[in-house]
Amino acid sequence: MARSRSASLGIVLLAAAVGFGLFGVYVYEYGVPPKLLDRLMTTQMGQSIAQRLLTATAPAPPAGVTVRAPGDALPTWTLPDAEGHPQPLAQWKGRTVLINFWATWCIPCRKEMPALTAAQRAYAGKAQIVGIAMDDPQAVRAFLADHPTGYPTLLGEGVKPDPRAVLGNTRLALPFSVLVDSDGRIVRTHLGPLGARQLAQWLR
Amino acid sequence: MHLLFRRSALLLLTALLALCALAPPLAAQEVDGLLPVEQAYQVTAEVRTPGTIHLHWTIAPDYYLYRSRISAKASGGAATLGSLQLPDGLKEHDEYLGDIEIYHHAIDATLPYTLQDKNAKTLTLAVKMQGCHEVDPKICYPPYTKTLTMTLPGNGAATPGKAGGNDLLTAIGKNSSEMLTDGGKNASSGDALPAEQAFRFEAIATAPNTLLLRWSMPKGYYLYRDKTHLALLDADGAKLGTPQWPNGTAYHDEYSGDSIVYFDQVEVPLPITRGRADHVKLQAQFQGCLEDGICYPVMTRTVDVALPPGTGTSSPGTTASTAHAPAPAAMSQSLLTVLLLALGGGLLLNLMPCVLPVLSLKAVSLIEGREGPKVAHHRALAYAAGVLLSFAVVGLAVIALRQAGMASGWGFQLQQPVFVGVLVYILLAMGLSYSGVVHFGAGLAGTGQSLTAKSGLSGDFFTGVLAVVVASPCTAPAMGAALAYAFAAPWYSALLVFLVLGLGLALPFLLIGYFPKLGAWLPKPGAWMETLKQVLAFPLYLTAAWLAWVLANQRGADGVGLLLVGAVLLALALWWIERSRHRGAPSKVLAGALLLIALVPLALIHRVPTPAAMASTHADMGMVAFTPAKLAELRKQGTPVFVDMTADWCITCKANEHAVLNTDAFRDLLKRTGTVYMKGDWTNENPAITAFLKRWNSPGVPVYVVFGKNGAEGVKLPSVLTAGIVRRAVEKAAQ
Repeated sequence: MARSRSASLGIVLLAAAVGFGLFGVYVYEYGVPPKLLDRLMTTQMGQSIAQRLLTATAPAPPAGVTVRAPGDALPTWTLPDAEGHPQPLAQWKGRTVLINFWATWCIPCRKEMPALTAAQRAYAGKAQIVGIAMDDPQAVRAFLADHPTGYPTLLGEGVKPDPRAVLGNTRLALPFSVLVDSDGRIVRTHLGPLGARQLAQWLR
Repeated sequence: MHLLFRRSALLLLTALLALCALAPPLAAQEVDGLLPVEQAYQVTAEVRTPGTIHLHWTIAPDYYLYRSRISAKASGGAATLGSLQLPDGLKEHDEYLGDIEIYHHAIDATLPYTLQDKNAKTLTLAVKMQGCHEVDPKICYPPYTKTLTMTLPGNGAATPGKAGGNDLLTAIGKNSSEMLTDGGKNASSGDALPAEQAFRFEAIATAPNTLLLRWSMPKGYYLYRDKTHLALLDADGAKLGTPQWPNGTAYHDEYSGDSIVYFDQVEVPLPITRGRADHVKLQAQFQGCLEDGICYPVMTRTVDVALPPGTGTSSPGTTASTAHAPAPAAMSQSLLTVLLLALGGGLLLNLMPCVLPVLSLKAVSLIEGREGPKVAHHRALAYAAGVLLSFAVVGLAVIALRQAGMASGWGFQLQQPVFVGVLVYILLAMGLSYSGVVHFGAGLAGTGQSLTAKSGLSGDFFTGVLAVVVASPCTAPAMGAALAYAFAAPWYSALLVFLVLGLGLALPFLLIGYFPKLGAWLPKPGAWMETLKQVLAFPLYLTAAWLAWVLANQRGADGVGLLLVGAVLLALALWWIERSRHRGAPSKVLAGALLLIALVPLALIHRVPTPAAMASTHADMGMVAFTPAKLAELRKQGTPVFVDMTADWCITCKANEHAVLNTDAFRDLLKRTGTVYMKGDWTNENPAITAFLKRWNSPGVPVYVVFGKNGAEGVKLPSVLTAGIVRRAVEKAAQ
């Protein structure tokens, strides 16, 4: 009895070793299966590893730009809204602010928008989402006319230095989100679209 | 105690295997991350027929471009562009997104243009594009603009990278000298030129493994030597050597102080180790200034260079096979194949004379042991853990060594001729030991047998360790192969290979532990082991032969000659070492001295010039390879031609070359008279040359014929040349 159990343990061990090895080879040759990667990336740990990795591999900021890291205060930007009226970001102090950089041509950004609109509705009293479009003002106006968002959108195109770079996104990639606490301090940044679950965690 | 040991052994085993399986995905993440935008979307442009620009995008896997976001603009209004003809992309319709069309992998597009300036020789295009990454992190890049400069055909200009061989050399020479005079006019008119006009960059392949880079600047512009960075994009196994900069001008300016610079024009031979690539994409970043004027920001140019096959040059020692240099062969094998080989190699190790006796004794004690099956399992696991741990240690040590070496710029690869030489020596020495010429580690194997006598689980564990350490004289060949792989492969697959090798070694004992009946299948030690060992010597010799061929591609016939002499000396030294085993000290000293002498050729291999370097000295002379068509063309143009028919095996030819043709005096003579030096290589049968020899009533080489100016009939020179004969003949021809 004991003997057969030990033997089967040995076989299981060998099979597991061979399986691990074959999986390793598969990953080496063909990359991580996309479905598995997606699954891993939606976990909190996967997200935090990925974001840390992205931050670590980001290119150096352009000369003269000081990157504000989480813990630092958000710069006092005043940007025009879609109608051209200047809007200081400081007006939302006292609430948790989620800044979302996007562009009309960016598919992942557009796919993210319904979740942002829903989150704004759900946390209306506590949190404020602010979109910053890094795009041509005319394209932004046309897009917003067709797809109203339920949160304000400012125009960030052409601002020097690029606010994305200042907030650590030296790739200037989109979408890019920054969570700012009610005291105006940067809490965290995120490259890539945010899902409903993550938004709930962030804005709760 | 036993339980504890068993648990820890199990834990260790699983931990090691888990590490191996998990390392690749983590490392892949690290490597992939997010590509810089210029690597995610690579675009090249080329004008094959006047009026149309061909654009080609290479899009990295998991990245895409938006069709509606691709546009092109001619810089400086030098041309009017038509509409960009893009192929159909992947169409998607989404209620929220609307219609979009995207591209994956690659795009081929055409763009019609009309030149504003009919005499323009280059066209600069700014191509703007936008795209995203479609797996996590799903992000989009900001708009990216790539500036491309194309050489236009039809004005005597060659499209870079589309032709090969020596005629191109003359073609770009002509082209850039025209450019030079053009530029001179522009410079004198005052303002600084745009960067594209001020600094012209071209690259061609002059030999299968040499590129010739050329920067051309108008008068007054200069290029910094030490601010130049060269890199290959999508290298496909190709690697760049060190550029061979000619002597420059020491120059002082306010921008970068004292530095070495080049005026007018500079040509730089650049050795390249080609992988499977038949063309490379070379990126050059450089900086330069206008004298007493402005300095330009870093300029980046990318050129496509087709590498000619090996037969394209007349340099000795290069053969057609050079076209596929095998250097990174270890890398091109798929990891799975390598792992299977490692497992097989590990299993084979069990049959080795130093391992099998140990294993048999242990197996017999295990089968006949009275401890019962459970203990047998523990012992088998302990042994396996010992083997795997040792292999992991060896693997990690090798990887650490490699990392340390890389950090200190120690290019330890198959591309290094000395490394190839060392591998040949090691393989030969192992082969000779298998053949019985010399016996390594006779004492070690004895120790191993006495250690098997130990009992208990720790004994089994250490038997596992010792099976690796003690049996190293026999395991070394398998280790050697794994080692060679480890130096070329990513660290995690290298470690995996070592562990699988260990698994192979441990497998028989592990199986016998669980299925004692298998013990009956275990071969009994005997005389057949010696036969097996001797048979296994031959694959080793074959491997050494393959490496010699690798070296032939790197250093030509001279390098292989040196290596073979060294190999014979090594065999001599090893043979004498074996004979001196039972002799006095003087004999042993002689053996040591022989071994040292055997190492001398190895040190010399490093100094043998590459065939490419030899080819470039020919190029310096303005030498042109013989073809009847080229000769006819030159004669039609009225250019005097000196035809030299030679062969590697022709001693008279070599003597003439040494005394007359490879001298500065001869080079000056050619330059002064404007004579083209045309060389035909008859080392291998060549019907065109045979026909030429027949025409000049000569059964063989050397044959020297001088064709005069204005298509005058040729004059044959005697087969033994003197400087005087050649000078008179060439001067007469040029009149």
